[in-house]
Amino acid sequence: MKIKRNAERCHGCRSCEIMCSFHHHGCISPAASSISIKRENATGRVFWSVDATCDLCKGEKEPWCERFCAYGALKVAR
Amino acid sequence: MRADDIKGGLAGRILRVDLSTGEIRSDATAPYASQWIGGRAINSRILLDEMRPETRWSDPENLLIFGAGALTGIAPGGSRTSVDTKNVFSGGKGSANVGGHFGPELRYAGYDHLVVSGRADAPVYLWISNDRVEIRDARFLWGKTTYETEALLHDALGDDMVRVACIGPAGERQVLGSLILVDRAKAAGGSGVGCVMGSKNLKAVAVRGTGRLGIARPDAFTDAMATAMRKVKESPTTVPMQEKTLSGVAYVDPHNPSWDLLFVARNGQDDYWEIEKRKQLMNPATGAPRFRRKVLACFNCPAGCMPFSEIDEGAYKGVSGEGFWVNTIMSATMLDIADPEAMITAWLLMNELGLDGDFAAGMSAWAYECFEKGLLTEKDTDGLALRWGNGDALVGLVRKIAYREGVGDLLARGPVEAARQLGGGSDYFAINVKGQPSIEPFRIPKGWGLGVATSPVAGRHLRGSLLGSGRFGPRGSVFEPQTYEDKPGYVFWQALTKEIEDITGICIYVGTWSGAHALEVSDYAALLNGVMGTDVSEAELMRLGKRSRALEKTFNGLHTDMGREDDLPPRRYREEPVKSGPYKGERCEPEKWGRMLDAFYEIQGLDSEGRLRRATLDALDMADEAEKLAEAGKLAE
Ligand code: SF4
Ligand code: SF4
Ligand code: SF4
Repeated sequence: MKIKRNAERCHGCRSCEIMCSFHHHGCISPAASSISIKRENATGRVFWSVDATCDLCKGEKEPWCERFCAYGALKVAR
Repeated sequence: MRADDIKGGLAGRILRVDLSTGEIRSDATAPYASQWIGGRAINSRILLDEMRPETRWSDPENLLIFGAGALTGIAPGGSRTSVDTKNVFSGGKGSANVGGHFGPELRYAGYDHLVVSGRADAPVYLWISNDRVEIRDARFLWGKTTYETEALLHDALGDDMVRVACIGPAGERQVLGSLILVDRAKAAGGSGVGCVMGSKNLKAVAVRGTGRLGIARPDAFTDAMATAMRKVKESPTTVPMQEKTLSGVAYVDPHNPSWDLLFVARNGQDDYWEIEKRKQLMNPATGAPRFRRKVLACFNCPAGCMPFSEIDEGAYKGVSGEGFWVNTIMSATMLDIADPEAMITAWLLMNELGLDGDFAAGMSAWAYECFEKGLLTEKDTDGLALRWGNGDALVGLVRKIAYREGVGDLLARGPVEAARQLGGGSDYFAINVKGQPSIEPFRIPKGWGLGVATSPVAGRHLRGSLLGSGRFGPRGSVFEPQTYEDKPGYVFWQALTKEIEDITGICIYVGTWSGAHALEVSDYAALLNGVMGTDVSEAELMRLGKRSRALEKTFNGLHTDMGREDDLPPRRYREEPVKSGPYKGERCEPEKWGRMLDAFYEIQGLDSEGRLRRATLDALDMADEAEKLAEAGKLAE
């Protein structure tokens, strides 16, 4: 896995999702993101996954998900 | 701005559901957005245009409107939804604002606003999945708590990514101060919005959206996002808030100056809460912070401030959930409760049963004082000893209010009616603003009190209230909280920035109020322009803020007889001074307070009775509103 998430730091805000969709499509749509974040409201747990559409932000200076994670919870190795 | 000047950012539709007829339709957002941008201002516009003054909150004709902000689902801190309706307490404008992940989902489903009218014959919920919108049978949900409702809907719909806004048993029973809960934790609390939802037989709104929000100017948007993120990161309060939450940063230190300013003790008998109690409630080793397991964030929020707590020992072992805010501490001091486990439990129970925290705490504090004075006894309370500091009794009382059991039925009616029924002079200490219970401080921080007292939506501290000392108000400004003279200007500024925050849907803790306190109106303008392709300036946004506030003032003018009297602090705070602590002797001195109010009216363009002037509305291009008010005899010519 080229992307690592620090579960302790992750607040479940989903900024990574929307910025990922912006990278791919130039619009905002969590459903069109490579990364998905799921909050379980009953337990406060936050789950995540990255699917095969992730291109590690090819063509961008920095990976958008990492850049816009305000909690420093994501690290992308490329 | 013309409707076709908006090139991005809108979901596009305003969804309209009539529960009486079952009719579902939608119309375009753009014509509204071109005038009012989004969020609360559009909600206010629709309420003013479509509701007759004689409509009561409980009538099917009352509208319940959910309006996501223009930057909700897009901008940092853009998580918020404004819920507007007729206020169950004042009969005027009702409004509550909520974060979480509901508003963004509504927008991804294609709707900026949801307007609910009518009343269903039997309990229903609304299921919104992109284009598919259905009114569904909710008998299997009726009687369930908010927590159960979310779980049952996830099951029934087979998707746990569905966002749920729902009422609990309190809203079903039309307890006046009922909330609408989102994501099991975030409350649209004020104005009795959950009570209105209950009166419509609407148990929940469940939404799932997989659509897109367009960005008109990608480069400008990216720049504005980068600037916003930089400001959030540079703010010295961001990281502490992310790690420890707001209450966990400021109030673990019992000597933090805010402790002396913000907290009302024992239903307003004093405005000073003893150091030992502060320590007991908030110290990191054994107080409320000790039970914090995690901090969570609302949608796309860089300042995540929401604690998830879990009690792992003692009488409340096993209680867990999200929620413990500064309002929780305000509620604790009102009741003199220093027991952290009982306070966490009571607070989460309010969410679970669908009761607004300020309402439940305010009504309970009144009941505790009635108990102290012998107006209520253990016979009336089914054995609950409502003695100051008794947290276990609060847990019991919350349940009674939500289910309208015994004395809870009296409290469910709100402060004015409850005090009228009980008598014995209890109206004097039924602390309320325009009929809504209030747990806010008035006597020490004058700017805070001025904002609460004059709020068009019946109290609460988000319509201009501030402290000074750099923590609230224009960045860098420092002023004495307890003086009168300079407050009108600051309060008006803060009230206007809040208008813009409710229009854009950006959280005040990311914005201009407190918390991370990072973004300003210029940032909102840059974000809006990047997203929508518009060219609005900071000054134009501030003017829009004035217009938005004038919509609510107009609504109140047409729908109520409220006047200057209703903009004064509760009587107790004018008569009784603070009894102890560093601000001993402070109160709302009627003459000085009156002069402050005069000045506050003046800068808003109101007359000395608090009525809008024709010239004020004309200057805001609101001649139609002026005409309506003139016809009703409510305009100052
Ligand atoms: S942006 Fe960071 S904190 Fe937010 S959900 Fe993604 S990984 Fe978690
Ligand atoms: S690296 Fe880029 S494409 Fe991959 S998940 Fe992050 S934002 Fe999406
Ligand atoms: S600052 Fe707190 S309340 Fe505001 S949007 Fe972020 S997490 Fe939600």
